[in-house]
Amino acid sequence: MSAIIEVRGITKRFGGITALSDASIDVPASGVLGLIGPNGAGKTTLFNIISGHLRADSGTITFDGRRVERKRPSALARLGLARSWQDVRPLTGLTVLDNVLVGRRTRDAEYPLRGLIRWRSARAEERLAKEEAFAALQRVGLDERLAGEQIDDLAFAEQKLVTLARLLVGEPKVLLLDEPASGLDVESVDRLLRVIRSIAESGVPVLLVEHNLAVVRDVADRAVFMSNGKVIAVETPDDLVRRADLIELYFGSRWVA
Amino acid sequence: MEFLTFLVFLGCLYTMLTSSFGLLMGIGRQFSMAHAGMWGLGAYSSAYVTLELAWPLWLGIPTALVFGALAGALVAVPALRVGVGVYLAIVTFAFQMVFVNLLTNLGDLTGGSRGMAGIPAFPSIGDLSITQTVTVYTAIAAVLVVLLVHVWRRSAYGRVLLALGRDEKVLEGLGRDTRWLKIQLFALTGSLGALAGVFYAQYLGFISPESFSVHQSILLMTMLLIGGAFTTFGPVVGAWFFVLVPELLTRVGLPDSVAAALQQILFGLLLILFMIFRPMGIVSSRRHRPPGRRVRAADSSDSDPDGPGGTGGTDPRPDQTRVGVPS
Repeated sequence: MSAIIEVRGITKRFGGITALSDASIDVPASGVLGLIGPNGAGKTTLFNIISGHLRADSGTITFDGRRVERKRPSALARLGLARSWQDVRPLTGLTVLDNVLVGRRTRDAEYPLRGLIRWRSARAEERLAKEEAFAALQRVGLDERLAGEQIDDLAFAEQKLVTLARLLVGEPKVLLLDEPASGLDVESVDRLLRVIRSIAESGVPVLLVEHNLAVVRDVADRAVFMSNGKVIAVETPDDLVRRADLIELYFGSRWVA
Repeated sequence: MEFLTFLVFLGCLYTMLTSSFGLLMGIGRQFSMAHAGMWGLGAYSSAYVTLELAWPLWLGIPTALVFGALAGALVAVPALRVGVGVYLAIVTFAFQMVFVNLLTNLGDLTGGSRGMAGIPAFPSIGDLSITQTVTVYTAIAAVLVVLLVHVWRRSAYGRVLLALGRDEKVLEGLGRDTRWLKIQLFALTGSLGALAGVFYAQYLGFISPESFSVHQSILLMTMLLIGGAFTTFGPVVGAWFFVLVPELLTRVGLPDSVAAALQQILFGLLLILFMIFRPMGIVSSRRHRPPGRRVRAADSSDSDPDGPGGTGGTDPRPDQTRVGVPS
């Protein structure tokens, strides 16, 4: 299986603390890869380094055949690397539709005068954009009728889905999800995981950071287990939970029979 | 008649200024104290090229646009480093102060504190006086600026600006270089602000540094707060409100000394009342809620871009009464 993202030997220190030491992972070009480990394992740090929000002290990252470890988040996003936020971060006060449409990168949205001069094509483009936004909402299982609502009026779980749709309209090559299940009730988690699976099945590989083992078992094809800034194991989630040494690292020793 | 012309002129002039400022402050939420400086730069640059260099009058307009854009971009550069909010306010405030100081001290170029006089104006149309002619052009320019801002606001580009004002980090994650976007926004709005300066210089035929002081920036901000910064017509309403209401106050028969004091008190009171009861201004829109509302049930709030002050209740539909007229 070829990898869409190859992370090699990433080290990151914050002051005297080594958050990551020589971490290497491959994100496969299809399916869902979970990134798991106890608090402080460095998974979020690694995640932020991959998405360009943090810079590693050393190591390389190759995305889709390109070296990207020095690129800005926006440049990475334009290359097709889309990330979500644990705290969702909807654009408050805007409608659901606007929230989704912002994720589309078009030249009209890029150049201030273009849409004014070529207003006919800009209008056609807006129509097309709306159709795609509706399609994206459908893809994450949201009713099109929500499109006109203020995003603030939606339930937290639905806001999460909207931000997923926002990433999807940008036609990402890989999706990075930051603790997608956090703050959701069981039912909403199920709903979200179904959406993530269907996105992965549609050909967009997914990397997700998650500390909830059950979620990773449910949705991930493989999981990377991290502890103390190191990658300890890469297994299928089912094999992972059978490894007593990892469970001990994760929960502490008293959980091991 | 002359006085009526002046009021219409001022209304149109401030409309141009508040519309462009609204795009910057209301949509892009980039807090700037330097907009009066843009206006002044437009006035000075166009006056200089038409008076001192004797360029054709119409060239004053592109000159102002270019200088406004350059100055806007220049203000944006440090703004990139300080993010949003109070730091940006201080940086832009500094620019505003430096600008007025430069006008005062670059005597050879600007005439110093005495200003520039004898600025030529567009030739009269028909039987209209010079001031009436300039007012006509100002009105046309104001309509164009409002239209431009309106189209922008509703375009894909405007949506990106809205997002910029809400959450830069998200926008960056969606593939937009927010640094470049901010430079664009400051340059565009600076350019439109400078346009107002061209007409101002022509109407009065005389300009001096104190006309473009930071008080004018604050006045523009107040106009936005009262009129509403988040819609097309909010800034227009705010501009005309502040041009006409003081005028009406002097017409009710109060002595000037009382009227002036009363005006200050009234405006202060109005501002407070608006902040409490109608934070979106007179003209508000369903598309934008007041800033400061938090996302319901969000589990972490350390990175909430809206800052404190939100109601953040558990009612799924709060603030309906505050949302005001549908757009």
